[in-house]
Amino acid sequence: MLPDIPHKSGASRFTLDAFGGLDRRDGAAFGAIGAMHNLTGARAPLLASRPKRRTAAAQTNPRGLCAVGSRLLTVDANALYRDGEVFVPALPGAANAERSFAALGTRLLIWPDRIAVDVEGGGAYQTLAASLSRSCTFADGTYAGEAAEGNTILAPAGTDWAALFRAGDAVTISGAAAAENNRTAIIREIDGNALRFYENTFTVSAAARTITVARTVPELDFLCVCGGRVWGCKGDTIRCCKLGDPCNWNVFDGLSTDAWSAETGTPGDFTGCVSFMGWPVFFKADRIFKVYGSRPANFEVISSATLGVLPGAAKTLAVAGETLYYLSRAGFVRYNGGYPSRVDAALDTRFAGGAAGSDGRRWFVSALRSDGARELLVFDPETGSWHREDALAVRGFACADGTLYAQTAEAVYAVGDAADPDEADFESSVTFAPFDGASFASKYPVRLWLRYESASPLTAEICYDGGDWETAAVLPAGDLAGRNTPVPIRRCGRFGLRLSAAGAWRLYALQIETRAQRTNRK
Amino acid sequence: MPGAFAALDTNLPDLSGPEGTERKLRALEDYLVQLLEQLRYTLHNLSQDNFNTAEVTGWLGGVITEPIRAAMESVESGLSARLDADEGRLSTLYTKTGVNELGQNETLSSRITQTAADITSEVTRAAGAESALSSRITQTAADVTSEVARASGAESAIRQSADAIRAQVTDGNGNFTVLNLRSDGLHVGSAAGTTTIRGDCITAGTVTAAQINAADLHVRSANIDGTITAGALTAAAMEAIELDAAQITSGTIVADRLSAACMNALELSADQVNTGTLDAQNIALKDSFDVYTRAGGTSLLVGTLGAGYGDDGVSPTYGVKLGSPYSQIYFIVTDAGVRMQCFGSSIYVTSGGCWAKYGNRTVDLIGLADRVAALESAAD
Repeated sequence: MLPDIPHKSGASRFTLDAFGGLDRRDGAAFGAIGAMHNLTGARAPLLASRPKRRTAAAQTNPRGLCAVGSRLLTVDANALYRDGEVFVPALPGAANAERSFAALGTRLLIWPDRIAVDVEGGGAYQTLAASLSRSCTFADGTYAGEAAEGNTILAPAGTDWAALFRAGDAVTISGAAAAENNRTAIIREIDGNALRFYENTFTVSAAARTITVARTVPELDFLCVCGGRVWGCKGDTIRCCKLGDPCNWNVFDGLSTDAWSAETGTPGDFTGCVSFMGWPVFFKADRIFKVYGSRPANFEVISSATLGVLPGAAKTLAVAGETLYYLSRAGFVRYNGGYPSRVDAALDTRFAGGAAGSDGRRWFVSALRSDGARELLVFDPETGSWHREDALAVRGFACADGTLYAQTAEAVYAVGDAADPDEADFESSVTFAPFDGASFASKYPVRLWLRYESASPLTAEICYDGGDWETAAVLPAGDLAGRNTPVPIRRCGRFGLRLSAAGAWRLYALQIETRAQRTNRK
Repeated sequence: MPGAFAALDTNLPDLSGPEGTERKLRALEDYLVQLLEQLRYTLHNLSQDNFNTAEVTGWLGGVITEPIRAAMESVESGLSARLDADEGRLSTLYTKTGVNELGQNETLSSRITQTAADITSEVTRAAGAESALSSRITQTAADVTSEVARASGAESAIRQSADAIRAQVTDGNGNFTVLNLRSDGLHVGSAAGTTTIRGDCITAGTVTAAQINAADLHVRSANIDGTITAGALTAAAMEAIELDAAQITSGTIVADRLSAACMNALELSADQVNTGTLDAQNIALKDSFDVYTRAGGTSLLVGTLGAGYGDDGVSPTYGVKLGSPYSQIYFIVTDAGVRMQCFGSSIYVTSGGCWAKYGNRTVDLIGLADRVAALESAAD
């Protein structure tokens, strides 16, 4: 009996010319990328090695990074640098304190130092809080030119209250003999050594006693700027300063410009805050709070019991493409004002923290994996794909003038499409999810072609049926995008493909020709 | 951070891109959640910010067409509140009934009534007829009136209008005082009369004061019943029952009685002058003054000095008459001559000679020797 002659060859070609992102899940379809190193999705749909970086500044003891307009500001060794130059030689806070920043116009506010510095100025900073202790009396005085009772704190001649305080400041008085005089009140007028308040603010006391007059600024774990106010949170309390005045957090005068604070009464501490879509948004691990309203009288905290920011992951909050991304208990999520939804299913990894930033389009996150490893991942909201660059451990990101900067323990790097890169050539690779012939109705590969360009030889490695990686070919460098380059491949049931190069390269397309297995073979 | 729904910057998501159905649905879900949150917030904060001005005006002005009646009552606390609003009137009434600190049943109530023309607020405390009190403030376009009244009838009122402020206090017994402040002055009135005080004068029937302290006091006419003590008094005319002054410099002093240690006057006219020494350059008498001598504490009339009249047979003559207490014994010096008179006997001295008259005899010329002898013989 003659053998059966197939009615057709059973050949088929699988072409991949639009590359997706990283997909670490088992069973990912061929074409998905199971692992990658130093690749970027910025050239999608093709696959490319990431752009080289530029070292913007070396760091010795980095403690913060932010951008105000086109200015890049870094804290290193307790000094504030502006665009790489020393701006404030010595910050008043502890040297190892991690700084939080907020920008109100050109004023950069730095916590926990609680100072403000004009980034377009000469580097002199203003201490937001102020305090002065003097031997004072509580006396009758004047207000608006009219006699007023119990409204004046008189310090010894020569005291200049105006050097520390301004009319409108809310100050806390302590040390007074009369308990009712130890209170927080708003300064209405300052005249040399006389602080004047509203009438009958104090009980008159002619006996001089050393009191402390202080304008206090709260400690805040996280802060942001929204609607001309600085917003912050600590513990379970949300606070905002007086409109446009970060020095005053205790002005409660019944005006629309007042400061404001509220406790949410929900368990747990706040884990982060951000200004998003016109509202200050605060996060706990399992709740999101938005503060609606235009003035203290109608501020209202609207909360949702949903995925908040994982404790310790406040730095992962960043907006990319008008969507907010952060690390929650469930993983990386996107948030667009509704309910957060996971975006990291393809990563198939648990994360414990990290820092993130955005160049406006893509979300860069230096993620701390649960196993302690770091990896710099990039999420592209347009394609929904992840790309892994390397294991850069970034402390913080900031985007200045369209360039994203990453502060690490050693340096500040311009990442993404940085101008004037100075990074040396680096190894990059892509490992595609295994081609499982069984899933293609008993097909097996017979040919493999690549269309690519590379500045250095491109190595193609193949893993047959779960075995070791074998170098199938070292493809020459050059612009080969116009033609297909064959890669030898053996018949197998399942194979993996890994491409790597030491220089920049791009992969335009990949094609596999398969043949059907004869299912009736005995 | 808008506070009004209209100002919310929540745009419909742009779904015109190449995103798939799943992403569109997710975008719509996000949009829906935000809308729900913002709607919830807006309904919690329905303020004027959520409406345009015309709508707010229309809403407040005419949308509600039915009268509004609302009442709250708490039997336990004795409180009740009522709101009435109809086309012409809006009023609120708040009442509290209880026992006051004196153990009396007491009802406190306050009411505010508003119409297009006026606003009236009233507070009343009723706790027995004597202690009942009420006050009311009424405001119209033309005036503001506040009144406080007690059950006993005492009441006070202040009414302010564009051209006057009137204040009145009444004690319930018909006694009242009214202050009327107008542009022409302050008018103070009572049952006894009205006084007008202006910037430049006081016009009144009677001014009674323990002391008037003025640097320059001008009085057009004054009747002073008591005593005036002054460094100097200068007056065009002064009438006083008793005037005690160190010096009076005046044209004319008219007084019932003048008592002075020393009086210098250009002209002194008096019915009676009682003094130790009268030192005058010129004393004018209309008729005569009496001359007394004091003996044993009794004034004894010893004679008179005054004007005298005579007749030279052709025309009347005038002169000075020095007389005894008896009117028929006197001495008169006139511009026609000198006459001594004692009852029916008299002696005339004229430029024509000396004449004597006795009884009903004719006047004889004396001074010539033969004539005297003739007279003597005749007498014999």
